[in-house]
Amino acid sequence: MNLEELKPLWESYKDQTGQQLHWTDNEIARIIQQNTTAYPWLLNFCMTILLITVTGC
Amino acid sequence: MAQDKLQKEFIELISSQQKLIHSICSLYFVSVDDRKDVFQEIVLQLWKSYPAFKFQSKASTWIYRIALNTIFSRLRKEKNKPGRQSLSEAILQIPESETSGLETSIENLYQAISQLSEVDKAVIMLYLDEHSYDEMAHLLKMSRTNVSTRINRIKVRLFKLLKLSAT
Repeated sequence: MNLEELKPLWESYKDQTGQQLHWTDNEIARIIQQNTTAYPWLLNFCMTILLITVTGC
Repeated sequence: MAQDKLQKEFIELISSQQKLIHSICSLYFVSVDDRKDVFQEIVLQLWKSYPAFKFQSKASTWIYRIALNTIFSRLRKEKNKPGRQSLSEAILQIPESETSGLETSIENLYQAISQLSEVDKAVIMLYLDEHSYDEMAHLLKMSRTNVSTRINRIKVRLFKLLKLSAT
């Protein structure tokens, strides 16, 4: 027995795992959109804090 | 818009390669929640590095690099947390179920690879996915000789484990 013989089994493992844990395109899009949309909110928050600090409330 | 185009391309790429990411996550994490979290973390890291990825290397090599870095970094953080259950302990607690011949072979392979060290798991996955010794050495920051030695050692260990699970 050698490692080459395990390659088809590895492919089957990947296929099986991929089918069981499949994420749709929309779910994948949501992961990256959450990250992208977090920045304007964070920027807004930081700017508000900065303005409050500078103007002394 | 350019950003929309980039996002569409990225989602298509991840969609076509997601079985690889899931397979890597499943070998390092047992709980469904951990696997989900790590999958999201990896996709996010891939998205951040996507603009710099110019298809100069194979997509799978790029995915392996980001996925393994993300996983190793998470494992390092978790090791510092008290009461963490080891993967081999968790595997021993998985109840056995009735499965077909192919499913049993896949399960045996999964169990055997799961018992290897973190780095050895990465080496064998890359090997089974047809990556060259040079690529593995570059990805895992080790010498080609070290890769070769590890593969020989893994081979012996893996077949011992597979033989045990077959009996």
